[in-house]
Amino acid sequence: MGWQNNDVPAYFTTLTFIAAGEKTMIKRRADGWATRFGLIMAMAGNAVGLGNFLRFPGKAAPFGGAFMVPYFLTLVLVGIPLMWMEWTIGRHGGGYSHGSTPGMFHRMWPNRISKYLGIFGVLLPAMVGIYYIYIESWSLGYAWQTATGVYWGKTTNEEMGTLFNQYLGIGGGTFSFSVQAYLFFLITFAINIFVFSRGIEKGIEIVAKYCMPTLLVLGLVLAVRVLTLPPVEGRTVSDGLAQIWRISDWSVLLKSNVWIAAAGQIFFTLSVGLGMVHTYASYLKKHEDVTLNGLASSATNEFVEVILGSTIAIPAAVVFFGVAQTQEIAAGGTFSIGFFALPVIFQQMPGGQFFGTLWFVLLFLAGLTSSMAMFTPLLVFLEDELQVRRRYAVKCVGLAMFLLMQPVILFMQHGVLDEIDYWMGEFCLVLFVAIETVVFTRIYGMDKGWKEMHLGADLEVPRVFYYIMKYVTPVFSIGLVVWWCMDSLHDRIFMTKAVAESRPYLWLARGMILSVAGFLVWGVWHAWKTHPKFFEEEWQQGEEERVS
Amino acid sequence: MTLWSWLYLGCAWTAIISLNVFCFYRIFTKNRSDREGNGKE
Repeated sequence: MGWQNNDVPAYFTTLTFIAAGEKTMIKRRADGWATRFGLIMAMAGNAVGLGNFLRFPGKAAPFGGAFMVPYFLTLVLVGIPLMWMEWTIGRHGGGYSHGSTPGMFHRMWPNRISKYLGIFGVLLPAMVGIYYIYIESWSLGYAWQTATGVYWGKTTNEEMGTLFNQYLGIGGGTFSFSVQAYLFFLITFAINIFVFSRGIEKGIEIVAKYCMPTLLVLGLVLAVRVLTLPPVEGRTVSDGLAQIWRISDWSVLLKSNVWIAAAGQIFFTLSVGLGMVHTYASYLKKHEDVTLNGLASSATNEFVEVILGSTIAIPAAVVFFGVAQTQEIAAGGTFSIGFFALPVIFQQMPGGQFFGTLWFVLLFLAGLTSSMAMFTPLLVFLEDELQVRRRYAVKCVGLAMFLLMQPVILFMQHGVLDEIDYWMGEFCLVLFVAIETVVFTRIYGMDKGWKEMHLGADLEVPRVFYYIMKYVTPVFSIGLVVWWCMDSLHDRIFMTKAVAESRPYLWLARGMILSVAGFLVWGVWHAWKTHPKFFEEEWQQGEEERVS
Repeated sequence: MTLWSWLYLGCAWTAIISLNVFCFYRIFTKNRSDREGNGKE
């Protein structure tokens, strides 16, 4: 089912036309959230992703229970305040018909550079999306492989590692390609494009309303299965839980890397600093709550991550492999536990084929609820700021993203995916968080921001968070950027640790990032030049109305 | 797992579950009261 001609006018049911030079422009979309439950499920789904089940256990296990101390502190001092800020920025910008961060920043800080700083909120989710969807497709592929028993009989991590490389087509050649992996990628990409092309109410909200409860049920079934595993050679589930909850060495808390790992995990898990929360919140009306909704979506994400995410992978791995080998597997990377270790475990578990299939379906749904939001800021940027018709914008975004995904797939073994992940999913994410906290608390002003946040609020946020948001969150975010710069920026920029053969491919990855960033810079420049009134009208009136 | 570890886990899980119950209870009771309010109008 695709878009029909008569769908387009129906979509723009409350068009407001304003004259700007010779152009007539669509001012605001009529799309939006049909229900509050749908909004929260979509926001929670945006946050709940592969990281909850794969990245979190991999980060937490090596530090033992000590990891959870900075994790919870960062959640309260940085994560939840950031969530409230992003909801507020999004709703504020949406009130002025801006669904992406360039316009939102411009409305909060009417300065020449603010709109260009906002480009991060469009660039980052789009660039993360081009590799995230490929990773998501692996879950679908492995769900199929588990259901059909393709890898049954391969009972060691090494064998599963080889199978994983075969699945991705990684060998000694230039290209990494396999028909099977590509087929599942095409299916996953088509599902994502279909969902996001249908917009918020008819696409994203419907999928979130069904997928999130399904995901929770699957997660609970798997958690109960792991918690009721019988001991293997004297190792129990309790030993596995101890890897995350037992603090055997308090001195770990004195090391900076555990704090950085915890802060990074909080950013990734809540999907803050990516521009997607802003876009979702832009569909809220002026007096619709952001405080309780923001807290509810964060709480749902924490339930999935801390309760379900910590109960499945690591405890199961410890029961079957022991503590030492689990630590080794966890240190091997994000995918080692999920794609190497757990398939081996499922083969030794009663009903393993069924539970293994559930595990990969769970990962796929977690990925889908996040990825379907990733191209939305770009789509909305084209619609709102460049005044591109929706059908045309969907085609442009779909085609451009599809083309950009090809080097990620074909040159994955040369580090294209990792390079994009470092710049877009790590460094620039932290940088954007620092920028937005400064814009919100210092430039827009914390007093004004606090008032804006509480418009129509169903939850009065304790006053202590005013000071946390004003002082702690920005300082912490800026400190993190400084640390990131000192830790790895030099090596990354000059590729000091990259092998010579990979460097052209890393430059290719950078070229892809810069080309999309260049287009967005042009887009912002073009939009503000061709229809400037759109970005000025109602500013005073709207702002006075809000403040009063 | 030591006794303290179980307590640590228990407190964290209780806090997260309580936060979820608090948020969704308020949301659903608010939604119901809004609907009833609208119905009276």
